[in-house]
Amino acid sequence: MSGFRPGFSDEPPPPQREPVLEPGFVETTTPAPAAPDWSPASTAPPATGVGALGWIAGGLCLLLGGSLVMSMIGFAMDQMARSPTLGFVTLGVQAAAVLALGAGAGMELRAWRRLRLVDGLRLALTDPAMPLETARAAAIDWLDLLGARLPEVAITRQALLDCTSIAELRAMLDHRAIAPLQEQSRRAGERAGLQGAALVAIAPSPALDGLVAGVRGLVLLREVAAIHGLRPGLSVTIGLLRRVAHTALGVAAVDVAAASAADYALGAMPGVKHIAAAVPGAGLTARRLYRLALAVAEACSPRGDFTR
Amino acid sequence: MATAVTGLRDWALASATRGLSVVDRALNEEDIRLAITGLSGAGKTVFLTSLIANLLAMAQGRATLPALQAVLDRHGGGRLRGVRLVPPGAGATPPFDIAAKLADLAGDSPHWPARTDHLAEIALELEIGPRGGMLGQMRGFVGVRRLRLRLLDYPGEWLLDLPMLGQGFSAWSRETLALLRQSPRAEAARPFLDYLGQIDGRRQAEEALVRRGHRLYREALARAQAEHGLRWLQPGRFLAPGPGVEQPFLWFFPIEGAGGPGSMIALMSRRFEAYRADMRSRLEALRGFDRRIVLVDVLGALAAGRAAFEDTERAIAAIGAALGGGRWFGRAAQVAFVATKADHVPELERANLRELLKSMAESGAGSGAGPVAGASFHVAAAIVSTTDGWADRPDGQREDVVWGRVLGEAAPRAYRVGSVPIRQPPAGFWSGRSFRLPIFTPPSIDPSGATGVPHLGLDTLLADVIGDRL
Ligand SMILES: Nc1nc2c(ncn2[C@@H]2O[C@H](COP(=O)(O)OP(=O)(O)OP(=O)(O)O)[C@@H](O)[C@H]2O)c(=O)[nH]1
Ligand SMILES: [Mg+2]
Repeated sequence: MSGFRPGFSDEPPPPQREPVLEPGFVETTTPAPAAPDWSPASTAPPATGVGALGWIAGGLCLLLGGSLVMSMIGFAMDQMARSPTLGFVTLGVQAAAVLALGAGAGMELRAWRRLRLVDGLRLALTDPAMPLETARAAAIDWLDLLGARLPEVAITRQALLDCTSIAELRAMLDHRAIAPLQEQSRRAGERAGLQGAALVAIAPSPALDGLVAGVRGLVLLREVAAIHGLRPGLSVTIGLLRRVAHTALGVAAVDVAAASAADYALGAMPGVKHIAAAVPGAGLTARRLYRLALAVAEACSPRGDFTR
Repeated sequence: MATAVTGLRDWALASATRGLSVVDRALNEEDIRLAITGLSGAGKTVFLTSLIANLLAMAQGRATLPALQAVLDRHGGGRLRGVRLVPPGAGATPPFDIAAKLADLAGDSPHWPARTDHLAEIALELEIGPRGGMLGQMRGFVGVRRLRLRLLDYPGEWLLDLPMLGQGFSAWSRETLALLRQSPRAEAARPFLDYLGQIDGRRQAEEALVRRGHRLYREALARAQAEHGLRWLQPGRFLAPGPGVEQPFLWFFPIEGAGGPGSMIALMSRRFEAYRADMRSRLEALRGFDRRIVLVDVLGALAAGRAAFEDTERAIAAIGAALGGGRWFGRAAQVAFVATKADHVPELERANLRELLKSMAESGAGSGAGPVAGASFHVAAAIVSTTDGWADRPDGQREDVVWGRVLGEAAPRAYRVGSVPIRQPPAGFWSGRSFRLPIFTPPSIDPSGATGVPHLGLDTLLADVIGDRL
């Protein structure tokens, strides 16, 4: 709007500004515009809501659960009508069953909370805006959860208390807690690999290889979770499986060197070497289980894939 | 037996890990070396800070660098798996302290990072997933590529020394003093020039006198830079000394004449030789950095007046010639010139800024350096601190302005530079006065770094400079 002033040459020219550079502030009563928002869009794919399958599953559960409760009540009332003694016995049995269910659910809930604690610590360690004390408290909570699974917990706790920055806290946690746990998990993975290879070797049919690997894998996952102070209940196991699926790709690629080293080492062990030579699937099963151990360890530890 | 087996196993594991990690590094690790240079105050530190912050935010799933994202997405979506800072290894280059720079900008009272007077290096590791298609998928089996983006903050002043490599002390002194006696350098260097009249370089070298001359010369350079906006100032290390204590070979100043052994001139020409040797080793830091970004504060130079503008032009041409020449590992180095602080002008003027930069780099008043081969030209604002808009003047004329809050003030004000010429302006353009660009308050930035930093044009620049390797 400043330099461009079209017009006819026989009309008086519009007032011209000198082509001189005179930077400065403009005196004006125009109000300042609002600063534009800098909020770059998220590139993550949109979250998928509850799909049709979700609704169907929910409906089925409701149907089953509801009819179970209704039939329990109906049954108890029937018995009551037959004889009060029988009725009270039925009620007692039912109450005991509900209590057992409740206790189980409570344990599941507590186990799930522990997993959330790990997630919370992971977040605290990566968020630069997190105050040091909050992160430290989360780290100590996590350490308490590990309890005796770590050597020299008292020294580790003091070391964490002495850290003066989040970066130090992160490094110290890695140094004194996560690395030993990772080492334990690695050993569990090796053990599982060896056993898996042996099991595959004696399996009557190659079709069972996958089953063997799957079952031993599930056991391994629970072992590694326990190493990390988690109680591997149903919900935690499922939660971990999901996480592992998420991180497995990264682990597989990043630890290509380590995992291939494991192949090599497993191959160099007298047991596996011979089994692997004789039974084609055995080496592969061993390798898969070893990698699974690494992936689960990553999913269970508060540094997650930020460890590197 | 059992221990023998474990021993064997551990040994096998260790050596296999070692061997395979070498293979893994060879297959999956790549370096891109990108040097960021420019004269002091051009915005190198701010540029690097914004670049890193936005790359880190991009890895967390924010579209902070859309053009770069588009380059990545050309070969399949979601390929950027992560970006992390690589801790400094065993190198000798001082590290670029990104955390401190971000803390300056994102703190409670945002302010610009302090001046740097030496080079600094930082590396980022970009994990990039395989490209789509058969070949890409097969590449994926080998592993995820780890692209190391090594970034260097290199003072442009050091590049201005390059012409000194071909000169002896007396030739350099003659040329420098001839320039120094012209206005406005002469005003800045008055005490030094007066001092030169009081000493005789052919006499016995007196360290105290040499040091005094050196100090005065250095003050003259600093004044020429700070008060007159001059840029063609040698030697560069007098203005950007670098870290550590000062070495004695720095203590010289230009002086005419020839002196016998033991004279002041002889001592200083020995120091001059040592300075040149040191300069060569300093240039070594740039070796392998085959992609270079030269930041230029075009607006600042334009505002500072004719002498400053022409001086900058000459300096830029010299830097371009220094960087553009030479082949590194058989490949011509790429140079991208960038006009920085583009948020000081409204959008319409930004394209002009680029044109002006181009003609500055290509002509280089009097330096004799031709156009730089393979150079590209860009405009960018590393951290946008203003808002585009307009303002009505009291006389009713409407102006395109930028609205910004000057550092230390409460309310935003309307700022305009005027029209930016697209090539070297004619004599009538200069008003004979010298202006300084205002320093606007940087915008408040999310301290968690999740949303990056508002910028202008960094993404297209990056796509142009490193896009071919993604
Ligand atoms: N508005 C605005 N100002 C900027 C921008 N970039 C740099 N500046 C201003 O320019 C000043 C110098 O920037 P630096 O990044 O410190 O410059 P440098 O090239 O590192 O300078 P030296 O360290 O002295 O060599 C900053 O303090 C800011 O005031 C930008 O993108 N927008
Ligand atoms: Mg700097």
